[in-house]
Amino acid sequence: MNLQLLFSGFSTGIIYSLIAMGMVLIFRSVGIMNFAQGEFLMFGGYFCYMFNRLLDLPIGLSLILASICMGFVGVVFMRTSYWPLRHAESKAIIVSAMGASIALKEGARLIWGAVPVTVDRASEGVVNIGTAVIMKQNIAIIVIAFMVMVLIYLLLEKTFIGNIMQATAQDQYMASLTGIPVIVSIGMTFAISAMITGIGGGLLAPLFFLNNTMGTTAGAKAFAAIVIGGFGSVPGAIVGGIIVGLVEAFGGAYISSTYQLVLIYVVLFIVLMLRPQGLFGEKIQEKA
Amino acid sequence: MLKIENLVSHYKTIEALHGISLSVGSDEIVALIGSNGAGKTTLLNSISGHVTKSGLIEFNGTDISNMPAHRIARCGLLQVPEGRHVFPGLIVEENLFVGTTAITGIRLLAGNQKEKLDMVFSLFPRLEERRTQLAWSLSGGEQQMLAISRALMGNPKLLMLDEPSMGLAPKVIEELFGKIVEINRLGTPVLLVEQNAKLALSVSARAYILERGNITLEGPSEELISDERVREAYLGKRKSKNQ
Repeated sequence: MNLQLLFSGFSTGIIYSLIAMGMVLIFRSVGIMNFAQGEFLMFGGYFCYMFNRLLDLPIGLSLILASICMGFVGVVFMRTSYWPLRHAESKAIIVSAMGASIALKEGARLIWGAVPVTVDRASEGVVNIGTAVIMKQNIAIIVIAFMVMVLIYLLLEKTFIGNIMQATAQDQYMASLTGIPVIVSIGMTFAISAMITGIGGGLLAPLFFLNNTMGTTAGAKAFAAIVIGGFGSVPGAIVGGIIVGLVEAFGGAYISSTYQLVLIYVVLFIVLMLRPQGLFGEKIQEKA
Repeated sequence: MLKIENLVSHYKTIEALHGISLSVGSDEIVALIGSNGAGKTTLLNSISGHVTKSGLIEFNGTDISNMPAHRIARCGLLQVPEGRHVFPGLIVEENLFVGTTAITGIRLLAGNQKEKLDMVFSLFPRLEERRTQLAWSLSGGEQQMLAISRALMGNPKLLMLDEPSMGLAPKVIEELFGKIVEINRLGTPVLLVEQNAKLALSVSARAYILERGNITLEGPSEELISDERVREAYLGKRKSKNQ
């Protein structure tokens, strides 16, 4: 087992997990796969760049500020791309999300330019374990992403506001009958989704340069992660993301780096053949 | 308490209610009886803000006809909809907590709700046993109890129950209706929508009969129960049963 590859695969994988988790939160809330989620990653990265490099703030603070900005982006996205179409067919909303993804991509180019940029590492230097050289940034990514996941878990499962968001996701009609303003509740879900994905962008930026089209491939990989993990399952999205990251790292090193994306889809096919509902998916949906 | 005048409701271009007038006093159970498709649920959904409508709906002296659904609930007018609509993926206790939104709105933590929980658990001890179970795993009767309790957690000033007897065993129905009378006795007026006319008339003080979007008959339940037309149409008096 190559420890170096394991760490780099795991750390990019956990970033796919953050995107996938964001997509699943929105999917569970409104029943729509958000194909602009990858753009949240890119936008979050650029916000981080803005705070860190243009305004010279430390990287930790930049990550937090970028995440807060992404919360607003999530709300605006929800209000403009989802809410006006909430009674329309889901196809319409998917197309509107794709439109929003183009707008976000081109918006980023207008604001921050087309030249790839980067941000500071959350942690500099390397750690030597035996012969393996592991970048501290990889470890930082894993630690921070894990902390974000724990926070989100606590927020959704252990707080009243989390119950409200879950209740709205499960039954909007009933939610409004108990006095929940549905638009606020869904808005919070979109905000959280954009925030966690946005942090991923800031963490990924030091490893791969930021450019305005990076979100599309990352989003596609996150989608593969969701299908592998099981549609609609949060643990599935997390594990699926890590699997995708590992396949990418090991496949790239041992098989072919040009066919990394193909390998991900090969794994996807194998999982779908052996376990069509995904690793964590349930065969039968909850009895309503 | 609740006063409705000349309510007309639409689903897109189809008119479903053609001018309903109805009132509920501050301590009574009022029954709304009608067959399938008469417009009973439409009427409740119009009151709670889920159907486009015109006409006057006044609750506690406030005009609520143009309020969004969640604001109407915040006024204390709480509906327990047909089919119960418990939140399937939340446990019983969380379902009950969500019910308190009607009083306090959205906040970070549920806070101490012990007093309220004790109140609903003393009314429905079964829910206390099921406290940490996911709501979808409850039986139909338990889900109905949970749906009513969730509304009680929101301190309703008026409770609107839509077909609470639906799909339940006769014994469970009997128990449930006993509780509805008890809730009313504790001071909450109830607007009770039922297909089971006999049952509804036996617990209510007054009743309205709804037919194809119009109120065709109203009066004290005791009188209606012996009314010839009601007996024929709703109380299963055998006359034209061919099967």
